[in-house]
Amino acid sequence: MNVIETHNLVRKYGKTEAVHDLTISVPTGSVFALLGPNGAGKTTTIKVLMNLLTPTAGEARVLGVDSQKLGVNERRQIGYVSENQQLPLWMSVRQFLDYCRPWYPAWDRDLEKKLLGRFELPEERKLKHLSRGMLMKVALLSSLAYRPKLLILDEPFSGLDPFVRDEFVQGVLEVSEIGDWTVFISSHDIHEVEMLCDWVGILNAGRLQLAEPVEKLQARFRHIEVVLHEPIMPAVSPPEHWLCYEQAGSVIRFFEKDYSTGKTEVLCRERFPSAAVTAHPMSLREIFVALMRAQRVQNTEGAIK
Amino acid sequence: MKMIWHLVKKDLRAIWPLWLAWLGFIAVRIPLLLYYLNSAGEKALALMSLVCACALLADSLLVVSLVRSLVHEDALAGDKSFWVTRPITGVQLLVAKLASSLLVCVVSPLVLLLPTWFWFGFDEVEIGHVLTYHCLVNSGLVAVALLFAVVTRRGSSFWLVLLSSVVAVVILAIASSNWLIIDASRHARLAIVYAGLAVVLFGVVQQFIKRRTWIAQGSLGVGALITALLLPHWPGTREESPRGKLINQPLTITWNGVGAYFAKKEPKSSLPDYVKGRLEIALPKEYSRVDLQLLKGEWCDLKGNIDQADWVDPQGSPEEQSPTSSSVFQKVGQDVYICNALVSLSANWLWNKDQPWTHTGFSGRFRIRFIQTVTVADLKPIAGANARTGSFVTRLINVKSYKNAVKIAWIEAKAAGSSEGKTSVLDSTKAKVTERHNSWFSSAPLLWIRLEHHDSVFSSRGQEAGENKAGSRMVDDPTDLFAGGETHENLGELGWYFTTRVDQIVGYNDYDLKTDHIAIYKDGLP
Repeated sequence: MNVIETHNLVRKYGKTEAVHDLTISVPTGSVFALLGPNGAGKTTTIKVLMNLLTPTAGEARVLGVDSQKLGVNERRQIGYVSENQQLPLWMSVRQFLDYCRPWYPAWDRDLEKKLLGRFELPEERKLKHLSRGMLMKVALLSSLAYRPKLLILDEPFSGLDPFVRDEFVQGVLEVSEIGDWTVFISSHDIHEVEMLCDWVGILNAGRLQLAEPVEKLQARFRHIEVVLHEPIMPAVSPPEHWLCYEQAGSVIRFFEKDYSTGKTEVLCRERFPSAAVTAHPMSLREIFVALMRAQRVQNTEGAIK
Repeated sequence: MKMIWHLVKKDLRAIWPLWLAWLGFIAVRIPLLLYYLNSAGEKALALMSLVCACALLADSLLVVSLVRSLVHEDALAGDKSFWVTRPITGVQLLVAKLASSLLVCVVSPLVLLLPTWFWFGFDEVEIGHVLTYHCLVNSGLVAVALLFAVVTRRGSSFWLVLLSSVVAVVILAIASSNWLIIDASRHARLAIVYAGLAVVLFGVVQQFIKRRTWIAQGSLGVGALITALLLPHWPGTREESPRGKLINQPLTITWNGVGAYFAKKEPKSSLPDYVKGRLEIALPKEYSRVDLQLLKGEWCDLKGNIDQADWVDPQGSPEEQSPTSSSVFQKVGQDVYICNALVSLSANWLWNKDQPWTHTGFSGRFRIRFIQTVTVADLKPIAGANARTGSFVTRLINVKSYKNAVKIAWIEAKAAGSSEGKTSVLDSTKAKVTERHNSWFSSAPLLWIRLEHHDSVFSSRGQEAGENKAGSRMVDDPTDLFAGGETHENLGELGWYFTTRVDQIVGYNDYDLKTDHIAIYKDGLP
């Protein structure tokens, strides 16, 4: 079963299309990272999922319910942390947790205490006197303590220093070990996300580039390096699944987005018969950058034509 | 319900500094009132009015600010509020916000005001009146603030939208009163008003439940537009309100005049009261007196007057009804009296010698003022009358004012003493009221009355006991009144007691004085 599903989701701001025809499925138990550059439509997607915005077209379902009809029962099973959320800053950490607790019958006082200790939050300090990192940790704590089935994190690492980011990630991982839950996280801080996620979706200019398990993604992406004996231009143009193809002297580099050991080797031998070909595995960050670069090149070529 | 209370408690904690400041402001007003009540001099009176006006303005702004803070604590506009992503329903929030607004802005001040009102000496009915006033006014402010708070997210945008809407409504209302002619019936206009209110209400409720801010803003805009356009044509205006209808109901005015008899070339000076007649006015029961005032006469100037002695007050006590004129006020229907007034019309003759003499009539316009006389018995001063300044403050609750057209006819001032539960009136007189101010203080409408020649009211009795000031004696202590030889040994307490009679001008209408009604005939009556 999928915790989140969208079908041909469209959201426009006036004439600007923030999300275009988005169809994704987030399976139960996964940690799904929605990656994309600034303005890709990640936050808009999450706002539609949380019924903070209405979709212009299409449908979004969360926990099996139309996002526009999310009720109390569903919200009790959803945790939401966003960099943009306005917390009641006049409250102290203690007051804030006291305020949140009655809304959730499944609130776990032990977990609350445990996370309070882990995050080293000063209970009596007012939220307005906390740093940004502390505030995010308070928000996370208030979203974890009732063990939600779905945790939605919208740009949680934005503006946090590396130490706090690490604490944040550790906090999420700790809870994820306790129960079967799903995390949907949007970010452009790929390094932190990489530690958490097992599924990834990449969004660019409102359009979904891909959505698949990280393992599968990393298996099919390779950074290929070809060293020619002589610096000559190959007569045949590269296939479409070779991204960011570039030649510098006798070295040719590109990203293979459809890598398989036999098939890629055959293609390389056909084009560069006597060259030395090496295939390097890619990190999520490298894949993301490769895709973004390829998209930019494609856009530039389209504009020239 | 438990969760609503949870929300209310949170809201109250959020705004308590402002709330406390407001209650403090109300608390400060009470001793301030007492200070002015016991202050002498006109400066105090002027200051009292100024303070009342400022207090009313500050009060309104504070109430609006409180409601704004309460609503913006969980803002409905925008998508960044904390509550939106939590298991809180719009209905819960709506009920919680209404409850906390009413609790803070309507109920909580009563803790301070109720004891004050009791101390003022208000009875149960008056407490009921002033409670209703307070609740209506503050609930109205809450409603207005709520409307604007639900469509904004921050204080700056709230005040901007509120002020610009007020300005826009005023401008549109002025334009509407000058250029818009609404020919619809009262029912149709009322239907539009109710429809506008329903649209606004729908906008607010859906904002809580669905948070479609543009719909709420549109609803508010439609409501404001309807208000602005219909405000000058409000169905409740004097002419169309139930009271206005009473005023406007056709009166039967007939003239049984006797024409003056004079010759064509008779000199002007020899035209004294040349016409006398009886004016019959069917007068609704509610009005016990009418005044006749001739506004304009064409062809000639007319002066008409009604001998006040010929008027009776059917609602007054038997002593107030003149035995000689009781016949002129006859009840002819359930609510209608016929007043047969003897009217003398004298002419300031603007003679046109070329006018034909036969069947020439006057024309003109006269005004009838309907006067309701209300006698407020035992109108007691709130904090004791100040004999030195001849003024006192009392409450103006039972007087039904209509468009503030209230005038105090006279005050009956009594010097009295009480002993063993019995009050003996030692002296009384009627004193003319020279000044009166309506003040809204401590959420209660008060009346500040100043008496003319108060110092001379009892001068004849007290002359021997004290010093004279400008020919009349200033009475500081009512016991002085009896220093002229009368004994008051058995009287425990002495004090001033006031009763007053309030004349209320309810409204007036102008009527054409047509030829059909008054006619002068050359040769006497045909």
